[in-house]
Amino acid sequence: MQSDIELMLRTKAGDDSAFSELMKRHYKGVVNYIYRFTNMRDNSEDLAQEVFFRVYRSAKNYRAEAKFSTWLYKIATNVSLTHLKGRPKNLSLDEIEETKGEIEDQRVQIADDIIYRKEMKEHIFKALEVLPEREKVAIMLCKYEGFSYEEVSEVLECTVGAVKAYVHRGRMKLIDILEPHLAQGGGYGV
Amino acid sequence: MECRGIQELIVRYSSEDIGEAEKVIVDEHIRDCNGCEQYFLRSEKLWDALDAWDEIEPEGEFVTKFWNKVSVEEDKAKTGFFGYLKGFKPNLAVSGALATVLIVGIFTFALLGPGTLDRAFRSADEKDEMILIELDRVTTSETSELLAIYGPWDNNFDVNGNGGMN
Repeated sequence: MQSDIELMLRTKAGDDSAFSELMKRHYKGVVNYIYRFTNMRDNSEDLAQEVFFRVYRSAKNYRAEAKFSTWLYKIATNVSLTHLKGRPKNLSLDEIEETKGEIEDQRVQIADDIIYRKEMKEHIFKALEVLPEREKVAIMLCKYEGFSYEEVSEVLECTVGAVKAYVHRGRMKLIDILEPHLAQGGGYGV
Repeated sequence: MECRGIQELIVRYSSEDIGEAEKVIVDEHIRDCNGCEQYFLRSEKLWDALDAWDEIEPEGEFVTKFWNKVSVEEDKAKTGFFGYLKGFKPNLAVSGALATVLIVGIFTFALLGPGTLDRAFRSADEKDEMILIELDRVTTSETSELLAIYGPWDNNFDVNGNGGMN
């Protein structure tokens, strides 16, 4: 199996099938990263399309210096931040209503657990929004994308020590913000 | 170690970013400190709670949609003024020739354009006129000085020859 960098170099040479292969590998991760970043399910795929479009357009200038995924998530972070900055703060309330509707439609037996997850998702999103951007990005990449500190440092263009500090400070703040909800526990084994 | 330091280690503990020696310090501390034990439990809960945010399954045909988007964007780029500008690839030889013709044209127009000769002659005439005026002034002045030996003149002499010169 070819590496991401090899596929990107083929894309640079004009091979679109290589870029299709790259997208197949990464689009799910990018869509979910944007979804968690923006808390907007509907827009996350469109924004992911925008991310890949930017990557495709930049393919001519691509240099295999950094890991492809760090470059990809750097662009995804920028697209998400740009989107969030241009969005009214309380827009996610629509999604809260939407998710309540989803819950009713699903009619699942373990409703408590699902409600807990949905509510917790909103609490987590709001808590993450309070964090400074770099702390939020560092925590999201470490927690959800499984990035190492070194990889996060490439995305954020800072030192590994700084990433550790971002994750540490962010977690401390999240514990303080989410403490009331953590105490509830819910049916999710926490 | 104080509780604050231990709590920093606890956060790293949950992220598995901690050495064995530090783990032992944390374990020993939380055994005796109820506050830090609670903090440890909350930290673990937090990291687990973040998993409550499930992944979504993107709709299919992401790749197909992407290539459709690329086609649409490329079509947009080809049409319109900016598209033309973007696609415009200047030829260096042609550009150089055009620039030369333009420069030569500007100089020629400046030298031989309408009104250029008139302006030149008008300027020469003005100079000549100034020279003549100056010459006339000097001549008049010199003439007056020469004639002064016969003066001063009294304009109030009568026609019978009385008065006039002192």
